[in-house]
Parts: sequence; C-alpha cells; structure tokens
Amino acid sequence: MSRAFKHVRRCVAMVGVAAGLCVPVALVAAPAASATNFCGGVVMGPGGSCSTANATNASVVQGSGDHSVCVALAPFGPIRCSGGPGQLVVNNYGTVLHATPWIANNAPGNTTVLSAAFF
Amino acid sequence: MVALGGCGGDDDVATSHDDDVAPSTQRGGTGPYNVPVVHRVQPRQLAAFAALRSPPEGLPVAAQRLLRNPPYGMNLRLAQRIPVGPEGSFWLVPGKDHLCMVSRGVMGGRGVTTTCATTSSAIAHGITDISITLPGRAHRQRLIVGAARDGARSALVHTGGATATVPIHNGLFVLRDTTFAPPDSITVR
Repeated sequence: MSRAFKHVRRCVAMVGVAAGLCVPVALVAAPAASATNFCGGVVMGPGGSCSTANATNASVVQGSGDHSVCVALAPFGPIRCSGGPGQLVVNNYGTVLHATPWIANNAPGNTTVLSAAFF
Repeated sequence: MVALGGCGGDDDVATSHDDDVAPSTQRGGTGPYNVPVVHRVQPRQLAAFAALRSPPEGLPVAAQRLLRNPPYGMNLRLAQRIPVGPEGSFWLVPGKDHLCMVSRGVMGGRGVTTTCATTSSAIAHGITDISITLPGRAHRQRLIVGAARDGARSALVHTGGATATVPIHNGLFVLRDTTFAPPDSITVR
C-alpha cells in the first residue's frame, strides 16, 4: 500500500502545482459521455497502482478489482475505495477536472483490475 | 517501477506501477450501467437490512443530478438516509442484485461517491464507503462508514498487520482514524 501512496504523493507534488497554476477546474457540469477504460485486466502487485499515462478531462473515475481498490482523479481528493472483492467504487467529482485517473490495489497480494474507467 | 502516469509524460493510454505487469488499453464495456432501474427493494435485501424496511427518503435532487446514470439499476427514490454525523451525508440504495452506498460532502469533496456490492457480498461482508485524505495534507484522516446485515455485532477492519474492531449499532459502523491506508479487507460478524 505504501508504494501506491508514494506514487500519489509524487503526483500531488508534480501535478498539483500545474493544476494550481495553469489547469483550473472547470465549474461546469460534465457532459454525458461514454466511459474510457484504463488499466482493465492489469494485475497490480501489493501496493501497486495503475493510471492513465497523461492527465485528461474527466469528472468521474470508477473501478473494481478482485480485491479492494481505491480510485481518484489525481491530484484531487479524497481518495475513495471499495470495501472488498468485486465491489464497484464510483467517484463522481461533480465538475470536470484536468486530472489523472488512478486506481490502486489495497490487498497484501496481487489484485486484478476488473474494471477501471473515467468519463 | 514506473512513475505515476500523468506525472511522467508517457504516451501510453495506461501505465502500471508494478514492475511485473503490462499496461492495458482495454476499452468499452460499461455493464453496470445497462441494468434497468429496480422498482422495489429485493426480498433478500429487505430481509437482511433493517434500514431498508422503513419508508425511503429518496436521494436529494442535487445528488441525483450528479449521479445522472446510477449503476446496477439503483433506484434513487428508494434511498435510505444513514445517520452518520457531521462528516458527510450517506444513503443506502438498493439496486438489482446489488446494494449501494452513496455519499456526498465527505472530507470536503463536492461530488458524490457510490460504492456497490452484490447483495450476497453485502450480506456477508457489509457495504462500505471508504475515504482517505490525499498525501501531503496537514490533517490525515480516514473515514469508513459501513452498513451491516441485521444481527451483526462488530466489523473487523484489517489494515496491514493491524485489525480494528468496530462495534455495529443499528446496522451501521463508523471508523474514524488517521491511518493513511485503505483497509485490506473488512469482515462483519
């Protein structure tokens, strides 16, 4: 778990500055849009995480795994997590953000991402 | 280990942060959103969760607007408000073969979060909403709100090597602490 959260810490440090300086939050409702999957089928090791390679515009990020997972549109919080295997967690921020969809493994062993998407 | 995507400037669609796995570029498939809205609470859910056996309050319109397309056929008019405290608003919402928890205003968040489990999983393990502050915040906080089946007395929250035992009152449990990690698993008994 600590590895995954170190990644988030790094992203907060790097992206947070950009978000604060030049990527303002769009205070408009998100348009209806189809979901874009990311990291589906990836096997995350203990403390592992997976994200899109580049920041994107999104207002919702969701995920599920064969163990508990956490999702966020980094660097925006809070981080929201599912409670167990197969459970879906949907984090709807209510506004379009320029952010990095991110999913992390909560389990001490490997976790397969059953679904991860943003829209 | 690969740097977190979006921070490193890679061009791949997805970046895994484990050394031994390959990134995936799978797309499509939004199964949870293709389920018709349920019209009533399913019998197994009614039998297991007392909170669902009282007249529903329904989800406030503002929260409904944010959700737009609820997963698993959740009927937002059947939402039951869960009395948690000042940390935010929580509702238990039935769907088709799933039970969901919707939260709003948790830890200053402006949006709405939904967690869903199959009815069987919710009966066996409870349904939980887990929030953690982002790294770097001065005040670290973890909030776990859960609903458990009738008769359950305590929830065991396993995080790393530690286990917190949380009493269940009226089918609800709440854990507030400063642990900066989500639980590995939660069980109710």
